[in-house]
Amino acid sequence: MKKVILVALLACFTFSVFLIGNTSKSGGIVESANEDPWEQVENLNYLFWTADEKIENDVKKLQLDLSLTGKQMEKLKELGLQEGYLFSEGRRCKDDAAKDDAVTFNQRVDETFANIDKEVRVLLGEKYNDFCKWIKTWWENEKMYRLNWLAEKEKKSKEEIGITSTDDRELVYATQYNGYTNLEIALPDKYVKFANLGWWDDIPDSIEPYYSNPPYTANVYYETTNKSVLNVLVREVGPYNEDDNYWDSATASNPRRMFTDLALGEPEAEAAKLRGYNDGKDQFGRVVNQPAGVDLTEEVAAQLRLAPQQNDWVWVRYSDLP
Amino acid sequence: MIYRKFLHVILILSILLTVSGCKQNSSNVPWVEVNINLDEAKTLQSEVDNGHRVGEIDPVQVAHEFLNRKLNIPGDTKRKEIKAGEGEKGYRLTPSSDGRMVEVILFQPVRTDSTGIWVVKKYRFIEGK
Repeated sequence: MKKVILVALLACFTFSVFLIGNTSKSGGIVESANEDPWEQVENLNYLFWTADEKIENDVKKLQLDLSLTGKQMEKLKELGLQEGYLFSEGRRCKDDAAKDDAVTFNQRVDETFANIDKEVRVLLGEKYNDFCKWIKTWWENEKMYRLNWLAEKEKKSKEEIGITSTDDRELVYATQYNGYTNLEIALPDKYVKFANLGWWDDIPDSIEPYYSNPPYTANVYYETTNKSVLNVLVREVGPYNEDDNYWDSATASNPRRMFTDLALGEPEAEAAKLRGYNDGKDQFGRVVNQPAGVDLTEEVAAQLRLAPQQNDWVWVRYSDLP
Repeated sequence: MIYRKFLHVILILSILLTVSGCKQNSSNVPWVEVNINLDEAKTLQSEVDNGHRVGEIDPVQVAHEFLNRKLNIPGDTKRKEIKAGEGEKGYRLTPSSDGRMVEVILFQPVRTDSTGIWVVKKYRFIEGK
């Protein structure tokens, strides 16, 4: 009888241990490399590499709130940079083509962020949990703040008279890329690039008439430094999308080709990142990690007084675009 | 008499052979291999994965860029898809600027799915210069 009771007790104990183990996994910080402890990406790149004054103050607050050392902050900034350059590794495997490419891609992104997360965990030790909470709260607040800020800015600009009218300019998040030339930008409309390079054979006949007057350029203005770069050639496609001519409304003579339910002037990547539009993905189904509406070469960014790799919100005047 | 006829036949055959021999057979034109730096390709893939240089995942744009930038043939180009190996894309490009016709074969050096960048693996001029 005693033996039976002993065995029963042992079984109960083993079961309890199993249950506790499972509960702590689902309720606590996630241990699996495939899951994201922040439910989204860490946004370290956005936090540490955006030149915006509010975000720079957020970084200071992070250091103060969690009493992080200068070295820890430097390492987090470095990881923010890595966030943008770790996706490329992948297997060259015939079977990959048969899978859902975007799903596979997004799994790789998750793996990348899980690796960064591991480094953050080691770096911050016991402060890691607080850091996760801080980032989560900050990102929720930042999204809300940024959407209101954008609306306010647009409204204020609309109220101004003359050249600052928003009829043909938008405030969008600018990232940096390595261009084909030093002085160029990328916008998410492939036909602007095609027209600028004279690739007429690849522009559909129905669309070609709207793109018949190249070269197409844009003016970029950075309010923080009061610097502009004028008539910059659109030489590449992106960020993220290639059919998001967001400076055209759905009912314009050259109508917006995709995401027609978005407001005029709102890039899809911005809506995806800040509002979860299209499940936070681009037109190819890839996760969007920056709310970007324009890509600048380092030279264009430098003329605006943005440091290398630094991003921020800039005004882009689209009056020359189809 | 028979000897003269025989000579004529030989002459005509020679002329025909010479003419057909001069006409370029594209399958005989050797390909020029392009050196691919895998590290550079990985870096570019990384940039593309982060939303930049979206044109790199479109083999058509990559083929055009190759013509524009590497072969210095700018402008409008007629494009026709040609046979290529598994996982490759092939195009015959006929620029409107001159009589040259170029064939290019592309492949994906880093990832073989729709998010992978394309690069030109080899090319050849099959007409003109």
